[in-house]
Amino acid sequence: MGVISKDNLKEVFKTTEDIPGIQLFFIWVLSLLFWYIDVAILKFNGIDPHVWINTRLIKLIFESLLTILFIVALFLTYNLKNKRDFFSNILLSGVIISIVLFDRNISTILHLMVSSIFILFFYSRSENKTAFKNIITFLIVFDFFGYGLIDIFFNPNPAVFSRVIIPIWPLFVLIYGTAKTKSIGWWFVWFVSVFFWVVLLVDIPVNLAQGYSSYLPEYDIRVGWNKIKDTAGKIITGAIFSVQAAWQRSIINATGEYYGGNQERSETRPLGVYLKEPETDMQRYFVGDPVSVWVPLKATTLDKTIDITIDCYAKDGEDNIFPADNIDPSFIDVYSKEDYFISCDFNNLAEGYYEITIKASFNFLTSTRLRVFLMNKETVRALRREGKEIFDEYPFIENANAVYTEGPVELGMETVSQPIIIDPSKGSSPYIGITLGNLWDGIISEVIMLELTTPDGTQLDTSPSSCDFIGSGQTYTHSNPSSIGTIDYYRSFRCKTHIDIGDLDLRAPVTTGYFQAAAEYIYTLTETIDVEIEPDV
Amino acid sequence: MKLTNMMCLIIIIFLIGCKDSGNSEIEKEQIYTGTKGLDIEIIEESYPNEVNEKEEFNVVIKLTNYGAYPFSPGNSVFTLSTEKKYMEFSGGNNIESKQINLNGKQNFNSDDDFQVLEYTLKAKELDIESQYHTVKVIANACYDYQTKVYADVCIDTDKYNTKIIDKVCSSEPVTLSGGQGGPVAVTRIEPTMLSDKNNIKPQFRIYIENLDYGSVIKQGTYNTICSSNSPQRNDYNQIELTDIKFSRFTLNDFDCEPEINGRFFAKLENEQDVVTCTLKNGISKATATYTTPLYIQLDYGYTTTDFIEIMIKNLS
Repeated sequence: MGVISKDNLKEVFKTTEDIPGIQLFFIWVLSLLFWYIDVAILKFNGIDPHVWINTRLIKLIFESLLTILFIVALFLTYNLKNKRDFFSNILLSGVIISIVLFDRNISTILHLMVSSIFILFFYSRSENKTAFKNIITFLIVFDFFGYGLIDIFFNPNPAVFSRVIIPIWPLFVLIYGTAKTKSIGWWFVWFVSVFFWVVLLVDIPVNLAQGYSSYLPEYDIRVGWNKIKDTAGKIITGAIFSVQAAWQRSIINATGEYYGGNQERSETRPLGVYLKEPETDMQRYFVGDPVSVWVPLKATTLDKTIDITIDCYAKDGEDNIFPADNIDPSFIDVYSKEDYFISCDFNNLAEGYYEITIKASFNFLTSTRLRVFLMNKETVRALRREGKEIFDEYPFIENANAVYTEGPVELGMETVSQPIIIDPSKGSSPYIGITLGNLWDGIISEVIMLELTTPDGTQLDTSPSSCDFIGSGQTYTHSNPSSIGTIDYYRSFRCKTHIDIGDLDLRAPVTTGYFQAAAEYIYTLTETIDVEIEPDV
Repeated sequence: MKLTNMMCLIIIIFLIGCKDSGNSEIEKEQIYTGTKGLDIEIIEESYPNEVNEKEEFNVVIKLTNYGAYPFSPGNSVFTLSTEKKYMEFSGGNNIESKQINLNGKQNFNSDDDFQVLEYTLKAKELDIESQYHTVKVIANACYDYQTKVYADVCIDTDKYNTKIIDKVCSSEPVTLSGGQGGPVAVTRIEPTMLSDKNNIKPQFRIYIENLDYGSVIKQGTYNTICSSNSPQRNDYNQIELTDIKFSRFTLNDFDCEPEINGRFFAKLENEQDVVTCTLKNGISKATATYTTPLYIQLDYGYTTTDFIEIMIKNLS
């Protein structure tokens, strides 16, 4: 018996009768709405793999499930007429119970409830209910667990990107509906779905890589078609880049050289500088026509002024560079929030094809903090000897991730697992790892400053064998940040620290402290647009 | 006249003899009951879930003594701490310590004594470009405590029912539920009448359990446990049996196990342990079987923790 087989795929679409087109259309609209709510509003992407890729939890849940299934099987086996159906019931029940056990967030429960609407709609019309249940089990597993796994390998930003690429419930409705209705209109529904899916795919990698929170830009068909034509190459190269970067990142994560964290998310407007797709002022240009390219730019900062330098140039087929005749504005100071339309003018481009590049270079600062808990080794030993768990005894202790501020760069930080145990006689020497990771499509052109602050009483080992930081007390800076150079993907630093028992706060059994870091850098964003100068008629 | 005097004498004797034991029994039940000692309650309505940078706010904490043992300066410490980098108290510290001063339940006042502490905290500045940060405020209490147990046991001097007279009771295990006015309680007493030629030696197996959510520590170690000093080997889970008595027999008349240097300790494992106490010299078999109150006193320390989280938001 296979869970999913060729026969199952055929069987699952057998229904007791054809489904009227209007009902299918309604279900299709519902599936799109469901998908939109997941992606754009709830940002629901299934169960976080860090929750269920937890061997102790998996073991506990697996044992509980096995016990339940064994008891059910004992009661039913002696009178079992349809073993296949029985096992498909068990599998589906097991998956649903697992979901509820792993994650009882309201969004997960709501998602499960809405998914059941689609399941029940088609189940009631399905002739081979066993085959249908097997397929549904697969879909639910993918919906709740699969996307999270995809994110681990591809690490898209934002995390629901994989759900945008693979809209599982709308896709299921489309495929199922095709088999079950004879309505010609259903092919139109297919066409519309595929068209907008492709349009979305074109725009999203660009916009989302720049951190835009809007997934569904305003389009008309003409603009969408132009984007399909102009950016097909970007998708391919972008996809290759993503796979390469994700593969590299997964290897690096496995080897422990990439120190990560969680990014703050703004409630309103994201921090940083964002360039949208450039546009030209006209559809066609002839020799002698001035060419104007406009690029919307948004910039937001909280504390530090951002200085943005704009550069525009055109490049022909022979790599000749033609700087813009006018850039307005060419320099922007941002103190809080600014929205601009950058205009680049080319007055005398000769006939031919040109790639016009708009670059925005800006300074930006990302800071990060990592909460740590320090404890006397003898206290930890005494508790463990008594069979007490540190996390039960002091429930406020956690293995928290570093949290870094919004922007184009990930400033991750990691140290040993919590709590950091200090030996009363010789102290402790935990490492601190910092990673500057490029999150967006641009590059980190230059690192201006990299600073590290340690918790009270913690000293950084500034010897050359440790790391390239200098300083004393609690504040240390990188000795030569310009030597870090350009960063395409990431750069990591790992330093040794030292903490003595006397550095703990005597008045509490657990001392809470922070490792903090700040990096200031120049980041360069680039947008391009192709222009053709036609001969004068 | 003689008859009248005799009647008066009888009435007087009757009145004197009638002890108000019913009332004292009721009082013991009200006082030495419950499984909680100190309760820390961080009043939810007293503090905001979100504050702005550099904003001051209050946190109110209610400490309630639900048990019978009093707190006094010198047997307890309560600390409230926060994260120095992001929050401080109005005096500029990140830890405030206090000794707890609360009465236990008493004969004429069985209400739970409580104390309300109000703290003013101030959020510091966030990191550059940071929009928010969640800070923990941690409350921790370490204190000495005592549990007193009163249970009626049967001293059965006629274990094998050889006497003609009917026994008033027979020796059976006593189950105690609901606690005795502290987090550590005796949950069961199993009396066994050990017998030799002329005497019986009552032996009591005393089951002790931690019934609350905190941790048992050794009495007198509260300052160590509530600090970053190194605890000793037996500072956790140790309870001392400081008194056991019935009839005319007191602690010195018993041999108890486990014993360390003449003192009797229980060492909790999975929050439970058993102490066995045997009367050294025994009771003559000629004595009639009788019921008597058994009194047990346990001394220990206790620690409990609670915390809240407050988000600091960027003013911009």
